[in-house]
Amino acid sequence: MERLEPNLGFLRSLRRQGGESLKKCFQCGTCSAVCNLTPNASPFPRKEMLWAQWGLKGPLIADPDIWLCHGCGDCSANCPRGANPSEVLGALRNQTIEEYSGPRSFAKAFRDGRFLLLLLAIPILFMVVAFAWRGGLAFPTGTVEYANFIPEQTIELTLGSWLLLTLIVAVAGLSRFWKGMLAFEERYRPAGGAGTASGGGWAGWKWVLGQVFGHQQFGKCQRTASRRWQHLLIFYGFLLLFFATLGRTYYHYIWHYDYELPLFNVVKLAGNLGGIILLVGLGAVIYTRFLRGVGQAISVYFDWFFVTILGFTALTGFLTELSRLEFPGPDSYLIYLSHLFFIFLLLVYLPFSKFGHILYRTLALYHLHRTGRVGVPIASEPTSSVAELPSKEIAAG
Amino acid sequence: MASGLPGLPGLLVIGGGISGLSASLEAAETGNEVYLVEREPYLGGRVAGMNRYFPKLCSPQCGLEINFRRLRQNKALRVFTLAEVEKVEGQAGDFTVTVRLNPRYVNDRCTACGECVPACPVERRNARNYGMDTTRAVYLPGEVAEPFRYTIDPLACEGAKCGRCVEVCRYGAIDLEMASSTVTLRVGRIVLATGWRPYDPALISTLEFGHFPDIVTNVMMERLAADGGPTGGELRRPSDGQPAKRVAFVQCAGSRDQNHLAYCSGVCCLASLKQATYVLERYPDASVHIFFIDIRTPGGFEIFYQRLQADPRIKFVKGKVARVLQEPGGDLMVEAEDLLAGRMFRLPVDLLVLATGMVPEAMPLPPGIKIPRDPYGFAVPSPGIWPVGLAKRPMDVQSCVRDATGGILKAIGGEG
Repeated sequence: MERLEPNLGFLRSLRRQGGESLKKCFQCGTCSAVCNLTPNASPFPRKEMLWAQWGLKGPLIADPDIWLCHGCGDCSANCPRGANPSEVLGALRNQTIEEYSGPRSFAKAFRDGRFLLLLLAIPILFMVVAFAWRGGLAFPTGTVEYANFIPEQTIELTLGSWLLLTLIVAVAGLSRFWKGMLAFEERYRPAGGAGTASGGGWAGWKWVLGQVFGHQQFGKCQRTASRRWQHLLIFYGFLLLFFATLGRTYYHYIWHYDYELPLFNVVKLAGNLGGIILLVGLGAVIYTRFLRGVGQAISVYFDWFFVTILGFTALTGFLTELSRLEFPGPDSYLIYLSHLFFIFLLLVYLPFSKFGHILYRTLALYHLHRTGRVGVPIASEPTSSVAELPSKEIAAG
Repeated sequence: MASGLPGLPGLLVIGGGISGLSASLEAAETGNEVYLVEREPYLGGRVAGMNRYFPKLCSPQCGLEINFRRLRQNKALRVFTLAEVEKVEGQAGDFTVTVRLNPRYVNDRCTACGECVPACPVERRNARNYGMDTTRAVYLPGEVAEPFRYTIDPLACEGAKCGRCVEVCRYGAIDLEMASSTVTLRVGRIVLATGWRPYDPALISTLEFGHFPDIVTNVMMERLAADGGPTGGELRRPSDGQPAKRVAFVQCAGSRDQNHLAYCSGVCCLASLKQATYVLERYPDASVHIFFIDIRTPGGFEIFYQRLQADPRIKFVKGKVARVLQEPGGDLMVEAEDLLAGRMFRLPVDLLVLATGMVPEAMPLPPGIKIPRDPYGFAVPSPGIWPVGLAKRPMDVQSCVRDATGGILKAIGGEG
């Protein structure tokens, strides 16, 4: 017999992160039956609801299944008890991100508004120190060229070194998550639960790429099909902006050109298009989910933190572009600095914020395909039956 | 009044189902003047429509028959069928009740010979069989109807311009010109025995009732198994008449669900267990699956559950069905999580029975009856008015009989 180890702190934290209703669950299994995304072997979210009620942090934070869920809310809509499995899984994903992003005490600061100033102060302090070291803040005169203010190379080197730190945190987190999932597979998957473990390697990554670039699983959600398109917009908007950033670096190193690119330059076009797409998608998400509460309806500080930063990054980007022409002078350089500030928050804090889902979901999906969980066919009849008389069992025990 | 309490001696019982019948008989046999008003053309209510009933799993006819005999022997009891309370005036101790008597179009000369039926050219939906078959516009309401007389459905009948039934009736029992009338009663107390109806299964969208013909409710299952049912008691699939040998029961269909009925009716588990025995008696090689959240067999009925658990042909599966599908030409499929095994399954079945719960009959109460209701619509006693049986809360037949007797004791004793 195995000892259960309830973790009350984890349970409390989970309830604060949107899982408030989890105690209402009475294990009827409606949620698993209505879910379009659950694997057929040890389906979710019913088992997660039980583990959560018991405060079993161990299996929950290593459970790859919660990353198959896109929070469409089919389960919550049909839940006879209002236990809101969809919200509970969302809270679990947030908890997982916190769990694996070291150092833990720093990761915790991302789910508590009291530490917001601390998080914002880090990039500001860094900028103050950097400018002081370089001899103070000096705004160039004449036509606004941001490269005259802070050289391209300086940005690449400083942001690059910060991102190296981020990368270390991310890789460490992912490797612990991977080990966690392997241990989970070993310990919790009931017999016959996993399929044949032949979905790894290229086949696995091919499937994962389909999910990442096509959001195929996301498209199976019933109630909120539109959320797939909203997320795709944000994803491709971000991707275009990412390529635009790479393009900028390409111009710097290949053509030694650091100044503003013309409007119809491919890199410039990609950046502007990406920014618009991203803002449209984000606006749709804020409207449907955060304001109207469709699908996963409870939005906690942790969710808002990421959404706000993403939005401000795009907005300050456009402002930077406009201010250069519309109101040249110190103002445009200050707006540029604020844009850099949000990029720092977005990218350097990636493994700690909700943005971290890009890492954990991707790895979890690969693991799920690798262990064959996504391909298990549905059984043709129930195999368990309550055939034993309860009174007999009690007598025997 | 027997108790000597102030007020008029008479007692009005609204509803002639098992609760109303019991209440009327108990009151009349203790020397009270009783008026029993029933909306349908027959007495016995939903119990009369069952195949077997608890506790002894006998036909409801045997229990009802005793009550009907008591009723016929008692002169203090006046029964109005096809009657509706139109208006209630006054207060506890002194009610003036207007009752509308709808025409039966068949008088007491009817011998129930049935020769009018083949003459009748019109078919009507048979509400007693939940629309699974039809009858002619002239019909006998139930295998053993009380009163044992034919009746004519005015919504279906073409009236005097047809008149073929009048021609064939040798007893002059049919009068298509019969009109409705009203009677005024003065009573001191009212007993509300308005009963229940099944929760509307069409509201439970995941269970697809109404989309596939082989999905029925538990009350329909009683009719499928009953001699007077649409298949004459042969358990057959409504879709194509094939034997229903693979039968699944969905417990808590809409019950214990905050989106539907937040409460447990307390009878549906035993009803499904009972109906599982219908299937196995009819087809010994049948298989039955019962999908449940918890099996609730209150009182001494645990032993009935244990007996069925021991039968390998009945499988009790923990897991709520929340998806039903059928490919054209394919089997009806039930999808759920098998909780104890931790896996999803998709089971082909011939017949899917939804164990729906009980809701208080939604008939609007006649003007003048003001009675508080609980959050689920069940009536709460108020001065001069006693709800009994299903008007008060979900319960089984024997509880209704007990509750009606207790209610009468309170009504004639003046409590409340």
